[in-house]
Amino acid sequence: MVSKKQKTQRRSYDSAVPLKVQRARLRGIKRDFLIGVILTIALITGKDLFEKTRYGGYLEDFARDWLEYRLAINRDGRPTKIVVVDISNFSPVAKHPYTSRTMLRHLIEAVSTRPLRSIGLDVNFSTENDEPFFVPDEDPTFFNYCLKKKKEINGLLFVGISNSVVRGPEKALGSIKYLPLAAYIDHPNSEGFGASAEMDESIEVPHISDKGGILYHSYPSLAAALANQQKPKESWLAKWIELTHLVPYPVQETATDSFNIKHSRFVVDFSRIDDLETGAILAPAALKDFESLKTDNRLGDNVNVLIGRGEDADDSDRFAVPGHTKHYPGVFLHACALYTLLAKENRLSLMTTWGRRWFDAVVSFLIFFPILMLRWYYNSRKDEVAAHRLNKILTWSAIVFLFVVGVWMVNRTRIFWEDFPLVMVALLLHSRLEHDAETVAPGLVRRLRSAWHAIVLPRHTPGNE
Amino acid sequence: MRVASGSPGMIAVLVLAITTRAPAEQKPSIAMLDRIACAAVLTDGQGEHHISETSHLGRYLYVGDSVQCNSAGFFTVLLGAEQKEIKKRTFTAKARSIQPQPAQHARVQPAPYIATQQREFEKLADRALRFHNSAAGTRGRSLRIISPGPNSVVWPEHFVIRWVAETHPGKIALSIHAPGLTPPLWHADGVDGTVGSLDSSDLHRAIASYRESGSTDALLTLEWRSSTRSFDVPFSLLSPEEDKNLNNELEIWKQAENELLRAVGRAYSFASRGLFWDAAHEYEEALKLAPHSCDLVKEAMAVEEQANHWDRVQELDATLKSTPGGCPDRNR
Repeated sequence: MVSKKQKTQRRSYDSAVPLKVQRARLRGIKRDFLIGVILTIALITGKDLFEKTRYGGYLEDFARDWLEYRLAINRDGRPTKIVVVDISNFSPVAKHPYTSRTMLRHLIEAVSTRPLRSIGLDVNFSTENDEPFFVPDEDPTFFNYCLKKKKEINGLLFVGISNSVVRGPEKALGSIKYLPLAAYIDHPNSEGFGASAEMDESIEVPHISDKGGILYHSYPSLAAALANQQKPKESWLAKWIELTHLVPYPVQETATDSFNIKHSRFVVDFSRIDDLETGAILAPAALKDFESLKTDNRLGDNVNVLIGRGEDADDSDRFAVPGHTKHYPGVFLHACALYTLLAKENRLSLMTTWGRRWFDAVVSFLIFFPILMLRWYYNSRKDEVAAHRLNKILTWSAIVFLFVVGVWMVNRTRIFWEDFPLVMVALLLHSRLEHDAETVAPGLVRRLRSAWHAIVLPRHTPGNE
Repeated sequence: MRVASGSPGMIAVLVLAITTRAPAEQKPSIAMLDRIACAAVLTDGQGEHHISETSHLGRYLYVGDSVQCNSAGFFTVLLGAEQKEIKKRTFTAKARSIQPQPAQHARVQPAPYIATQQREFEKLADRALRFHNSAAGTRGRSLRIISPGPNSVVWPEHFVIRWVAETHPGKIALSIHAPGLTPPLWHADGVDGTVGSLDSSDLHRAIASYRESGSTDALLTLEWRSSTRSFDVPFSLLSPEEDKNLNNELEIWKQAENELLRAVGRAYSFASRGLFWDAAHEYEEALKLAPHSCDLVKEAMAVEEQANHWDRVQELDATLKSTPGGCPDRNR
């Protein structure tokens, strides 16, 4: 049974409104569309500017921590295929701290009895000052051994270099013939806020040649060198996405500093860092005990071995990691970087600045445009669409949906959405400001029109008619 | 670094020759400038320089260097144990029986201008690199024990154990072992790790009696209570014969009239026996007398490095760079 009141209400919906009102409503829809577009552009610009401030940095730190935390708690139990061999037991050999090359050679020899995929040494072999080698008496012999061994391990044996990249490829590791062994082992400093979630994929550094000209040379990072992954063939869709700057891959960000040093970076999945630390092998202190490594089950087939100082790493070699509370030795960061690059499903994508802008615009559009469409559709009805209520519902639905998909399910989407807190704040602001603008705009437009007419049109007096 | 004992005169000649431990491609010194009380001119491989006592006191003279007074007055040269006052005539340093050390690493350098450009460029590039990145790798395990240094020599009566003081409170255990002997020669448990040094009469007695048994090789072990890790440093004790020779030499230096020569001589006696901590102390005394001597600063740096005084090495390096008139690189 339909009540009398409901019948009256239904009639009021069905009855057509005067054409004049409909036109006014259409004008309102057009005006609100314009307001929506202007607000979207303004908020995206505001967000861009805010991101560069300290508080924007704090929000991005928070987002990084959240995303890495989500990755860590949703990690699967797949084998990482990476084993860190901790050389904390190796004794100091001289007044300048350096790792015994003899011990390292025996260690490589012991672990390589297994069919490994790769070996990386997170040991800094960079030369210093004008010396050709860091340890002149031992390094050339050790590098010759490594070159020989590299051929046996799929060509995947690399040693670490750091600051000597500025000396050019001929001097970075003492001689050009040792350059195939060189891999860069630096970690990006945090930009004044929290821990960095990115690591270098490669670095391009200028140097002065012996003839006086400036030349550039690119060095792979330890993880990228060991992963040895070629850029996969992309589908037309992936190419289009990359073309529109939405999700470039595999290098997410290229930063060039004032000295023209180019860092190509990627986002690292640190979710397995605790597993890698727990599974690390502590190398024995004495050569005679190296035999035990040959039978260690953790050094299985096709495993990647990273050699570095773990347990006893210096403070300068320990780094904060997003989503984790403690500081980890550098070798585990390289291990995570390698884990990220080794398999396609481990990689994380990051939206570029333009990608973020497009995304923000689309989300904003998806909220206000359907409401305008509904208003246009019900234009001829007596009662107006409850645009404000709809706006609120759609905004909150979008926020919840984006949070669930973008943050909660980051382990599935693999998109590292660093600015999600800012987007959510921007959406709420958009909703609020749009409402205010729609309330203020008609009066404002009327006043502006009157002012314009007062200036442009002649005074309308009865005598003139 | 050890030299056979000999006559005091011989030792004194060797002092200036050996204490320099000249770097590669540098000839050993045989003499040192002391007082300069005239308008003196020094001629070396890099040309003629007007010198003064303020800036050149303690400057080593190398084979072929000559000094001349161009005005009334005199200058003194410490030549071995002698102190020669020279007036109005040229003093030329001669090789005597000391042969120049062979170059250790012959390096081919590009044209000097490009080399300078490269160095400057590398410095700036390194600074830019460090602004954005930090090395996430190891050089090696750092030394936690400062004294004794690895394979250095200690003087039992003056032996002090020094380690890198912990910033967080914690107890450490120290022990001295002899090769092949299971129970330690000396052991101290529950030592405060934040103190950074330990001077114990028990320790002196224990290692002195060990030395009397005819052995000199020993191993210091440092264990942190909070960690399973320990640090070992092998070192040796000054043998009784060397101890005797050292005391004789110190007596000779005591008799030297010139204070600078006394300090440099003592430093030599210590450094030549691997007693770097004591040698560093003597060089510090010498530097108080001749603070602008590039040679003494370099000597002190070398010894401080051996004594693991890294902060002091950096300070001296800064001194070297800020020396008035600069310190010439005498690669002749």
